[in-house]
Amino acid sequence: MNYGPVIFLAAFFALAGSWFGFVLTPQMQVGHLQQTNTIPAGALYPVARPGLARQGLDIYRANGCAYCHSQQVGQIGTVCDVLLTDAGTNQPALLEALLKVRQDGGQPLSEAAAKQLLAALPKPVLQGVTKEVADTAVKALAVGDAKPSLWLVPVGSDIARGWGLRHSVAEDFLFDDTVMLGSQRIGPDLANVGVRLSDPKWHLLHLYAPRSLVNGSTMPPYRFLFEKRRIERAPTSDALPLPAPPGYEIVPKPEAKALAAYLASLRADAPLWEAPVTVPASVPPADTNAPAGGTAITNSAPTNPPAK
Amino acid sequence: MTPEANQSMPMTPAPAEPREEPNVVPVWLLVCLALLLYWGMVYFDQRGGWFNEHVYIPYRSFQELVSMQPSNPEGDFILQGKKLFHDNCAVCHMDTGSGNPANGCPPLVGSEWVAAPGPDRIIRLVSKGLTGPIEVGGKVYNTGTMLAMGDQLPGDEKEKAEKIAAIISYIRTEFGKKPGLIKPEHVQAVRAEIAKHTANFTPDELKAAPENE
Repeated sequence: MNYGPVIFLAAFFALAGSWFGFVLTPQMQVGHLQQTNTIPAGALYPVARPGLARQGLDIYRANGCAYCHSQQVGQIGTVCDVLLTDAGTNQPALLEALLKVRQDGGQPLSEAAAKQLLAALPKPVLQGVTKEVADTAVKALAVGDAKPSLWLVPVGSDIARGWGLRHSVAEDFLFDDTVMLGSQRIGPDLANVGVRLSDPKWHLLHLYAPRSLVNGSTMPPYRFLFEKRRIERAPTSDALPLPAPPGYEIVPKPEAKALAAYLASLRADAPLWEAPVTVPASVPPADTNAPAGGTAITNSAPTNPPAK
Repeated sequence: MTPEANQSMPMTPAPAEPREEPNVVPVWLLVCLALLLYWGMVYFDQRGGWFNEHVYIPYRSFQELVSMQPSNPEGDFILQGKKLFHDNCAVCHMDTGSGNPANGCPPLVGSEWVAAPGPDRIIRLVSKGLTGPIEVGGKVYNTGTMLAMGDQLPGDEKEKAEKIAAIISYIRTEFGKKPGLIKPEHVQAVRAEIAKHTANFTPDELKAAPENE
C-alpha cells in the first residue's frame, strides 16, 4: 500500500496545528497590543527605549546575556493592605470601626493597641487580606473625614527578592523587537534592573569587573567591551575609576555604553490594568539580591508597604 | 540467492497472516476518559481565563481582574463631572474651558471665579445663571446671559446638588487648579439659601455672597 498521502497529511496537520497554536493564536491574542495607560496615574506605557538603549538591546543579545538572565517576574497572588493616613474628626467612631474591621479581618486588636495605632498615623491597619475584606474595611473606616486607602500588593518569591513590583505582561515588551525573556536564572532577573540600579556607570564598572562590586559573582567579565589606552593629554571623563597601569586608562567602547544604557532602561514596574498594583513609590527599600558590594547603588525596587 | 537456486526451491503455501480479532473497548476506559475530559474542562474554565489577552497568572478570569482594579471614587466623581460639563456647559464654555469670547462667553481657564478660594459663589452662579457684564481675567464680557443651568438639570434637589457638585469639582480641578471635591451636601445647603432667588444673579450680587462659608 502506498502510505505517501497519509504521511503527507499527517505531517501537514501536525505542522499546521503547531502553526495555529504557536503563531496564529498568540498573534491574534497579543499582536494588536498598543501603548496603554498606567492605572491610575494615566501615563503612557511603555515608552520606546531611547536610541542608545535600543542599540544596547542588540549588544545584550549578541553577548548572550539572556542565557543567564531572565527578564520576567512571576507572581503567585495579590493581597490587599488598608492604610489609614488621617484619623479625621470623629475619633471614638473611628476607634469602634477599627476594632470591628480588625475583628472581621481576622486580626483582632486590643483597644489600647488601637488607640496607640491611631495616635501614630499613617499606619497600615489591615495587611494581607482579600480585596472584599479590604473594600469593606475602607468603607467602614471612612467615618468623620478619616482617610483610609487600599493598596494592592502583589506577592510571590520574585517580588520578595525585590526583582519587581508585579508579574511581567506582554505590554512590557511592546517595543523590544527581540524579546529577551530568557529561560535560566544563573544571574538575577533583569526585568527591573534599571529600577534597582539606575546608574549606567555602575553597570559599566560591573561589566568590566563584576566581583569588584558583587562578592562571589559568577558573571564573566566583559573586558572586550572596554579599551585600555594611553592617556594622551588629560584622562577621559568616561574612564572607569579603576587602578590602571600609570599613563593608561580603561575606557568603555560604544558597545559597553549602549549595553549599560539598555540595562539602566529596564524598568517594568508600571501599574497596568492587567497587572494592578497600588504600592506607592516612596516606600523604604526592601532587602534584595541586588549586589551587596560596598560601592553598590542599592536603590531597590519598592516591594513592601512600610513596616509597622 | 542466485536466480537458479530460487527456481529450484519447492513451492510451499505461505503461512496465514496473524489477525487481531475485533475487541470491544472496555467501558471503564471510556468512563475514565469522560471523567478526564470533564475535569480538564472544569480546570480550564476556572483557570484558563478563556484566552483573554488581559488575564495573566495569578488572575484566573476577567471578572477576577475587574474586581481587583484599584477603586478610585474621587477620580470617578471628577469623571462624572467631566461628562456633565461636556453635556451641559461645553456648548458655550467649550470642552477646553476656553469659553467663546466672540459670543460673550467668558473662559473658565484662568478665571478668578472658578479658582476662588471657596466654591460658594460658583455654586450660586451655576445654580441660577448670570446676567450683566462680568469681569474675568481682566476683561469684561457683557453680551450674554447664562441660563439657570443648575436649576435646569434633571432630577430632584438632591440629584441636582450631586450633579452640580461633580461639575464644579471638575472645573475647579481641571481649569482652576484647585483640586478637591465639593460635597453634594454643601451644594444642597447653598442652594437652599438661594431657593427663593428666581432671577439670574448679577456679578455684584455674587460678590456680595461669601466666597467660602
